[in-house]
Amino acid sequence: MTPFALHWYNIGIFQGGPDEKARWNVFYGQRTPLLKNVEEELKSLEALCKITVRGEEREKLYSNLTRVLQYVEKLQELDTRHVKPLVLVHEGSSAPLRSDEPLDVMDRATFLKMIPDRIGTMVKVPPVMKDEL
Amino acid sequence: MFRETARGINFRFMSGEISAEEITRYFLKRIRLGDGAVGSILALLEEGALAQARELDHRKSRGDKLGPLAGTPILIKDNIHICGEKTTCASRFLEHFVAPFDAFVVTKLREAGAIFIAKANLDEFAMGSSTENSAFQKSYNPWDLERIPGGSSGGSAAGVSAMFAPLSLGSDTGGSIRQPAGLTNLYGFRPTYGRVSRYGLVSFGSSLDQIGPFARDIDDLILLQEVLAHHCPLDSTSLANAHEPLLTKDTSLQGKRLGVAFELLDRVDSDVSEVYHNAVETFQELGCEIVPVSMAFLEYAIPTYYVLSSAEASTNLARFDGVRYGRRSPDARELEEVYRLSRMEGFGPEVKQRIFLGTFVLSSGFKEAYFQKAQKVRRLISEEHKALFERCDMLLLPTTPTPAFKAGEITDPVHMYLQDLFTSSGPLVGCPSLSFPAGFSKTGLPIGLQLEGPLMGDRETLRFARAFQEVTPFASKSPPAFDKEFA
Repeated sequence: MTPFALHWYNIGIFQGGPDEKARWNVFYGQRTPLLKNVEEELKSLEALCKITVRGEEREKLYSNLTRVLQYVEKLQELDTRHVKPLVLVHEGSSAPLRSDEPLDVMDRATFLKMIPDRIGTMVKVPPVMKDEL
Repeated sequence: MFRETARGINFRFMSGEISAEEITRYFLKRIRLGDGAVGSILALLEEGALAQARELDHRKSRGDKLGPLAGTPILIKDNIHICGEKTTCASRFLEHFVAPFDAFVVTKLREAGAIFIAKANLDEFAMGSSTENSAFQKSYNPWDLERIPGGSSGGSAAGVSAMFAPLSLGSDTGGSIRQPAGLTNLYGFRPTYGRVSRYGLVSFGSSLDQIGPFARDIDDLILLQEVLAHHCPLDSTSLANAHEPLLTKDTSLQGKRLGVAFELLDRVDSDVSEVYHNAVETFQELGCEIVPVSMAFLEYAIPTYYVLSSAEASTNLARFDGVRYGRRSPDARELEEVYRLSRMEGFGPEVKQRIFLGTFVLSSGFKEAYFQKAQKVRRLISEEHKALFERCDMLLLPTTPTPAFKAGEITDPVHMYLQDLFTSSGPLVGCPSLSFPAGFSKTGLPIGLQLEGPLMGDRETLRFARAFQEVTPFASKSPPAFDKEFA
């Protein structure tokens, strides 16, 4: 199943009008809760986020997340069917790419010093494979 | 000396009245004696600052040409790298992380002769509006120590407001410079996106993040901004024409069209509303033509901002994996646990919440409905904004709906996000935006207003504020409890 059950049939239809304020305040839909199967949903998100959350923190996180998601659902009021996404504000003025040459930005010793656990010049991590494999 | 402007301190240093070392020792001492109740400082950079000061004294005695900020102390938000000093981002994850290089702005400040005396507190990874999300300490507002100084650059604001330094650097993703500036009677400037390099700033929302200056005086702010804004080859979003002279002799606003949105005042405290009306009158007296505008799209700016900034944060913060730097959980027995437990222990609740939100809006099946939807609304907002600037030269907005609130007062996340009502549209559009001291509440709390210019209109934005400062007394007011020498 999909991690979050979401109902899409309540989307508001944006209808342009002469009055700016009316234009931006159109809302025809009813809002519905976004998170359904809490336990499943959180588990799958935890796996994607690579963060374990437990106990009280977990409950708080879930209730805040639900609250915020309900709030951002406001965006569905707007009709954006013919709108192109805006990714970066200075469109079309992309910086020239740097030539693909190694730069002397950080020396090796400095970089190695930051590593929490290592053997010589190698990063040390716990086993990647589980025992049973 | 604490009341001096940056230019004043630089003048006293250059004229030989006082050495850089004396200046540095003076401000270090002032922080040590005065910051206990404010909590604006995470680390005093005593050794580094004194070394910088001695070098400046030496170079001066040799007759070297020194930069425009020579001898001037500055506070740096603790998400900006100073090589060899810690950059914690007020996070347990980076509690012991030492920056391996200088941020581009730090290089520029070194060249200009500024002295880095302390790292300033912030909301963890710059996520928050009150500095209550710092993993290490809370910061308080020098105007009323029961209240918050705003955030996320709360330490940078509180420190300059308490006169621990005349200048500081903050970073602004959705209001993190302007909101704290507004609550502490400072100028806080968010430049046009791309004016100031993000190289060496720990990323939060890369399409939105900008570094910017705080100051108590508009000319100080302008001077600092001129030092910061340069093209940087190490930031692919840095503008080729990032630098421009910002100080203009001409302060006349005669015939300039100022867009005002009185409808927004339904959403603010009566004190803020009164200050807004007074400011409109002042700008009118300065020769501005007042153009009433509607900014109903602001309602959509916050949800757009939170979807996009959280999505970008969740990808940016994926680099904190516990393998290469920062915290690694001692309990991790396999690689997956290195990630999961290090991040569980290292990140605070607000940061986790945003990573979860960002991951959700980017996840398969929801990306189109949330993330791409928000990118489309971002274009709608940007177009509305462009249309506004065909009718006016500058916009006047409140900075915050209310003066500073009490610590612990806001617990609901959406209520906290509404702090950004007037500040989150600027970053979506990329335009320059300045919070400036505009008045006080009946109880004596500072109230800031914002000037928002068109893209690349940085100089004009600062010029409006300069004209306002010339005819009003607000910027010169200091928090009474800190307007004294500490002994």
